[in-house]
Amino acid sequence: MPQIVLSRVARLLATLFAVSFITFFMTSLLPGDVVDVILPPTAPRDPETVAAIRAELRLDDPMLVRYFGWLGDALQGDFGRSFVSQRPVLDEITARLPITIQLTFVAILFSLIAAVPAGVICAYRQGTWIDKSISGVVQVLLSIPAFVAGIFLIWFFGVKTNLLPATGWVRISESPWGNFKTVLLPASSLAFVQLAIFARLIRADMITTLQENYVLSARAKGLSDRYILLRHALRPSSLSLITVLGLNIGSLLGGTVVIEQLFALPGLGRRLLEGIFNRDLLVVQGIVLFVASAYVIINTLVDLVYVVVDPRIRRKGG
Amino acid sequence: MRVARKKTRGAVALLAASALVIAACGGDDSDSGPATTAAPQTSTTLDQQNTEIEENVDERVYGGQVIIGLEAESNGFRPWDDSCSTNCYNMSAAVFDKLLEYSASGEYVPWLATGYEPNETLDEWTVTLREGVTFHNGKAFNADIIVDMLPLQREGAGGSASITGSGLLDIEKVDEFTVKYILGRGNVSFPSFLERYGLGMVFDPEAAAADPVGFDSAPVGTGPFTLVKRDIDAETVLERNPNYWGTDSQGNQLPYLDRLVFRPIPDEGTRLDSVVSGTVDAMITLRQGTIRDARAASGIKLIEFQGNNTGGGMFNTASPPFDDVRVRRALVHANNQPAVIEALGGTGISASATQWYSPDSPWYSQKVADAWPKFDLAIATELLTEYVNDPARSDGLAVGSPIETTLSCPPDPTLIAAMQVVQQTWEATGLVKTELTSFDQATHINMALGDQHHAHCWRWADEGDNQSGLATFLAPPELSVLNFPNWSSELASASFALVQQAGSVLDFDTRYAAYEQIMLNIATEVPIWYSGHTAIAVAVVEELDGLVNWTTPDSSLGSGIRGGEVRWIGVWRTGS
Repeated sequence: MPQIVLSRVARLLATLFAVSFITFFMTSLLPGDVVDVILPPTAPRDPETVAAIRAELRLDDPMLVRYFGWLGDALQGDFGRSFVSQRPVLDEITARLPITIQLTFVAILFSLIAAVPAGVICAYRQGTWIDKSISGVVQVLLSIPAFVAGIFLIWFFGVKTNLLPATGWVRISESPWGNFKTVLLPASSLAFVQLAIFARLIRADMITTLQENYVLSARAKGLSDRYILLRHALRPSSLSLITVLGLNIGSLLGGTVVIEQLFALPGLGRRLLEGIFNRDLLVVQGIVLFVASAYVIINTLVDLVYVVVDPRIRRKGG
Repeated sequence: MRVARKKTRGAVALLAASALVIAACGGDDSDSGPATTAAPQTSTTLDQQNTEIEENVDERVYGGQVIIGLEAESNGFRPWDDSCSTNCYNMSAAVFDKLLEYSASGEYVPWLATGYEPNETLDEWTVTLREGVTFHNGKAFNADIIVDMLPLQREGAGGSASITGSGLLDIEKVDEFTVKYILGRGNVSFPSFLERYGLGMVFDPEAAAADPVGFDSAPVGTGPFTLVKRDIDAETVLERNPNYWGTDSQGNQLPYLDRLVFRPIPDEGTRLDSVVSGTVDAMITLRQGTIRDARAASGIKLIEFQGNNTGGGMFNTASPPFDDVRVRRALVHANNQPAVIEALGGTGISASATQWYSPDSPWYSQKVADAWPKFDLAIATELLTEYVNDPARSDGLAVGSPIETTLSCPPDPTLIAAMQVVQQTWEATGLVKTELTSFDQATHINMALGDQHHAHCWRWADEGDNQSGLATFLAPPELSVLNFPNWSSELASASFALVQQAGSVLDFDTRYAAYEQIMLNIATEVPIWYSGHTAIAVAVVEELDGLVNWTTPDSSLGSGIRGGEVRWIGVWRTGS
């Protein structure tokens, strides 16, 4: 086990280094100049003013010098300041992180709550009208992009029935109920596609598991179907789900850009978008690195969860 | 209490036609409970669509909150440093007072100042300040404040831009409530700078200097609201300043509302949906498509504004073939403005532009409108034929071959659609090959500043005094990077002389004649082209009143929602 952990941590560090370098390199290649964003359109752009700003931001240093300078600072917890807002990048991230994390996890939670029973029922009733009906709905959900689902949910729950706020965000510390109401629609928008993916995965894995000898043996012993499904079949059918769950949590953390924009949520995705538009490179760099870290860490944890869930992997030593 | 919204055809100018009939109100300045009234009265004004807005000025109500959906987060609450646009002005004008305000008649009138007076050469402006005003932190406002703001304004990006643009050299304290602005040159439009963010908004310089970054989340102004919560990208909450100095024209304490909540909602559709659903109470849009949707929505009031600001584009006249006026005139004749406006979603919303001034501006000239080249493909083809068959054609291509142009615009879907219309109509002459390119906004601007553009979509003019903008636009290219089209010719030089002349006199007629001639010169040599004036709208729930007919301390009628800038100080919420 310690070897597995060490190996995963080494991989994680190497990945983060590569991600940070590639991000820095690619953002450096973007056309445009942050000086144009900082200076109002009517501001004088005499060479001295521009040179002074560039010098202050170390924009004229070679890319590698800037990268290692940034990396050195980042390792000490200093991700620099936003060129535009002048706030520390770390503050920008930590202020928005809880929103994106909550949105992601509620979306995953919603999708699991619906997908697990749906997948199990479909597998148990394979080939029946119930299976076909649920699979049909899942197929439809899979084909609906999150932003389309979001627009529909806003129209129905916000405009037509006025049951939920169309936009906005209430922090959980201010009002748990208000927070729940504001997270419901965006999280549901994200959950639809995840639900469909998870339900199909569980259905497929459950069908395979239900044909295993030990399940037939359990049936022969006279155990109830519910007991067999939940105690004997669900756990071994969850490995693919856990893999995809890890991948999707990571990608959702960085992939909430459109939904955060649509529902006006002050999360990381929206800040990333603003950073790109404003050439706010340190903010972009900080957020991308953070999301990449989260992605890698979550998937490393998923690898470790395999070891816990599946004794065969533990015995093979990873 | 009723709020009407009805169409009135044949109505004339926007705010000049307003009839302000206000009944005497009670002096209830408590935070709750409506003010009493003598008799039912309404105030009526007309928006740009000739929509009559009746406001219940007889029943101004205290209390309540308004949630406003903005297009984007404000850059900040640092007037000396941040650049400020519509979103920022909506928020900052509630926290800070401006020295001057823009009136419905197009004049700059006192707000936190009580008056201003230039010397004969217009390079010294003496401004008298309002007494008895205190900042949110209790500090007294006086001449020292204005003097102490200057070092910060010199250092900040926004402030220094205003200082350079206005020609400001120094500010002298004359007495406790009088300051003198000393300019390096005569500038008739200097008052316009005292109405904008960089120089006009008054902040506590001591608090700003103590924590320039933190000032954004703890701004100290003298305005009608104080900031109580700043959650960037989520919401900014302002609460009524109980010690505010201002009163309305009836002597009632301002502001009426208890709270303002600003929420950035970037998506146009959901911002409008948020008003329709009641999630927010008001929203501002600069998009014609959204205005069209808002017109179709029910249960909301829509107030529209169409000012000087106009879309269009420019030719880099230093770059062949745009160095030849025949080509420029041909392409302007080939510009089908109604089709471009339709592509922008603005049919029936935006009017075709012919100059830097909208028909409602006092500077508008019918003579210029008549002179602007009209859409006519035959003339366009004739001019282009003459150019391409000219052995001395400036682009060096073979005689008879089409001209080659690059047309660039930021990657906004509607802008791209509009540019595709321009491309099609240019190419319909059979003598133009146009390649469309697209860069993000910052790069787009940078290309224009660095003369790396060919034909470039752009915006012209703003709602204030355009003297400074015209002066930098018309200055010789070697002196001004803001002469984006690099327009240099005899007419360009004459236009620059005219704008300098206009900048040194106060007389309206002299200035009008100068601007009219400049616009005629532009219509002759067409270094730029226009599409339509930018339509702006504020959509609000029916319970909100007071958006249009607010007044300044000297009882001048204010400029309504000019540029989408709502003066929330004068808004109240009726009982629903």
